[in-house]
Amino acid sequence: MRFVRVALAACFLALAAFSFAPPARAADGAAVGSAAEFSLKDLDGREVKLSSFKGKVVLVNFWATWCGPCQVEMPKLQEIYAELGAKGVQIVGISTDEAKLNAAVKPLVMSKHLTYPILRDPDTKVVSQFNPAKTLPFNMLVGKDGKIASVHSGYNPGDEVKLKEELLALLAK
Amino acid sequence: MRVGRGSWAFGALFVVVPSAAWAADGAEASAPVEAAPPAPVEAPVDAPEEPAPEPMAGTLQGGSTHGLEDFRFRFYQSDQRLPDFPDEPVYDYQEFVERLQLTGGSSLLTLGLQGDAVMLASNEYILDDERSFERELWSAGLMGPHPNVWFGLEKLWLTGQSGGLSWTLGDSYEAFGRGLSLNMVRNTDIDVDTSLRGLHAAWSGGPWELHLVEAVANPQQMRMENPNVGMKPDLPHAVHGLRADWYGPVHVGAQGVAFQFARAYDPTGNPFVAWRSGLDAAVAGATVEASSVGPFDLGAEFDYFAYDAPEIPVKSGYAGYVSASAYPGVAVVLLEGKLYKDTEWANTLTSGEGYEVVSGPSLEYDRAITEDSSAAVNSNDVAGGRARVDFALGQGSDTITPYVSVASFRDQDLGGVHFNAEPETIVHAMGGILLIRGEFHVLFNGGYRMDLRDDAPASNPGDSTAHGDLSVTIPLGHELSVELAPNVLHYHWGVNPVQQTDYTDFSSAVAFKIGTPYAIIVYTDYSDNSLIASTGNVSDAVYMAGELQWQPTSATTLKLFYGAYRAGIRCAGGQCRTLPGFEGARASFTANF
Repeated sequence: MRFVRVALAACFLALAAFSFAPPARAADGAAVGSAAEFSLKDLDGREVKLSSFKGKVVLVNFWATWCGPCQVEMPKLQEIYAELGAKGVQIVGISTDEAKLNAAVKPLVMSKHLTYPILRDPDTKVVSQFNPAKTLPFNMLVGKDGKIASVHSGYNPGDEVKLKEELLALLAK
Repeated sequence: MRVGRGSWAFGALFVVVPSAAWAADGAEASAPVEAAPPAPVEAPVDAPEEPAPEPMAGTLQGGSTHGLEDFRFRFYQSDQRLPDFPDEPVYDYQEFVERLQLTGGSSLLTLGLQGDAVMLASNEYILDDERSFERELWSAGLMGPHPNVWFGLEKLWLTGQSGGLSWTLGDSYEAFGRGLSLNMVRNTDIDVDTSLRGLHAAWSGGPWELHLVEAVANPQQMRMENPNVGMKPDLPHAVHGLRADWYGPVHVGAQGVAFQFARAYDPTGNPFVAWRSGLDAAVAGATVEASSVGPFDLGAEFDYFAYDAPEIPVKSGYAGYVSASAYPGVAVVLLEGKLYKDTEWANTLTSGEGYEVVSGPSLEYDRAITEDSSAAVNSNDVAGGRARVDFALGQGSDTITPYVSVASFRDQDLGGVHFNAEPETIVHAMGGILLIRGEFHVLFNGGYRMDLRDDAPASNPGDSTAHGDLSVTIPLGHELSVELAPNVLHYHWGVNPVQQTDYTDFSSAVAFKIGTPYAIIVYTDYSDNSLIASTGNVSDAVYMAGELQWQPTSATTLKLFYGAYRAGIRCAGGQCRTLPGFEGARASFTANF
């Protein structure tokens, strides 16, 4: 009986918390609609700014070498890049692995045949800006105007189809 | 006898606080959940045209605010009873945990804060008119409005950027090189979040970069994932660090870090008197990284450690790490080597608090680390290497990537948590595969590890571990999918001074997913490891639990869990922590806003 009371209270609290959630802005996080900019180094130590891709539709994909779903998603992103890259879609991968795992990053990229730029965010400064919970994988779609159009966390089978549809819609804008 | 209930009002307060922040969001808060992402705000067509501002690196353009709301509720079921009251579950209790993180600013300045709060309910009872608290939430040196409540401003930071200079006043994180000389990063997989509170400055100009850290350690006092009992004030270990990088044809870096460890909780609240006047440890080292040297990408780091702390029995140590990768044909080859001698001593005064200040690449497979083999991860005298070859066959939705790897280490440290009294040679062979066929995918890792002890009989040369973990996703159509994730480990002990018994650990998660928003997960754990401090809810060795996950938006997740999981060692990023088991119910709500 005591457990039932406690469980009911827990459900109430959880629902209460959810009922306070603002539907619109929380729908995709606060980052949506704001301008995105960051600067990170690529695997060769060159500084790359997100703004250098302005005019393109950009898909920023945060991942890590230890993240299983990320490894499943990456080849599918490469497929999208191969198809839509020439049409104005730029994919940018950002490895959030900490510094001690640096040696494992490029081998993973090579094993997945990724041809889009890969940047390093070892102290998770950039992923924290857009996704304080740091869930991975995390995708951020940026329109031609440099503003964040949507964000998506996690990967489930078929998510890449929805991502591609969103990218095509952003290209058409 | 009466069992105290605590104050539910505090729980309500925890969830109201973030709502106040959201309510301030104004008009956007009224749009429906299902609404498409709002279109970017365009300037009016007839607005006077202004030159576009130069984007600033590392910060958001214009003003923006972000937030993270993270609420946990845990109901702990306990088998503990008061004498003479075998039917009264007095020691059952509830825990409310709340974390709110807010960040706001412009391209030039950003202010962030993280507030934490925890409350225990049903944590007291009255027996014969005498009130007793079942467990202490916080101890002397911390303050709370009630013995069952604690809250605090856990992290606070102000960051700025101008030209090539960026700085943070307050809490930040930093790792130098490969983490051998400084590795103060978050490791939330094992519930570790220790920041550096002070000044962190970075300057870049041309091929040069400089990083300066002048700070004290600020561990999270409240645990997000584990029971909060006996919370203690922080020991403000002082960290002074400087690193310079040069990015030319090769990337060369050099770093120096000095530590002054705080020794005791100071009852006067003045942390300065807790430090020694001199340095307790100092590390100096250098890194080199070069791409495309012949067929190789190369990396190397060497650090020298000097100690002057009375608790540390050695005066010096050193660490070396090298890596080489090559990509011949479909093969991807990664070779790594390490040589760590008396480097773990640098963590002597912080490991008791559950975190490490230095931590280099372990070259171990985190999921196969056990109570015994964690000793090799934290060894003060270990050398070895690992070779891994992946075969990248196929691309995109038709990918198959098998790999093989073998690691070998020589561990000559007999102190710390080592169970044995002889040096060991460790050999760990592994193989695995990633298979993607459309929306079907399989990830598998399996291996066999031997810890071969010097002078051990051939019939029982040491410890051995057989392990495997699998993740299979099977699409069922109509946005339905099933994900299976079993994980098994069998451990055979060699001869020990205090003999242990062989054991098997098994865990599995079966998830039924309905599109992105819904998942029902059934967890099963089995363990007959006598070293772990928990018992199952189905039998002594068997634990079962169920969880419902709801992700109504990509920024919001609600989880409801009921059941039990086992205690044991958990490792992530080469750092390990023994975590308690759990039996009861949990609810969590996380939202980015």
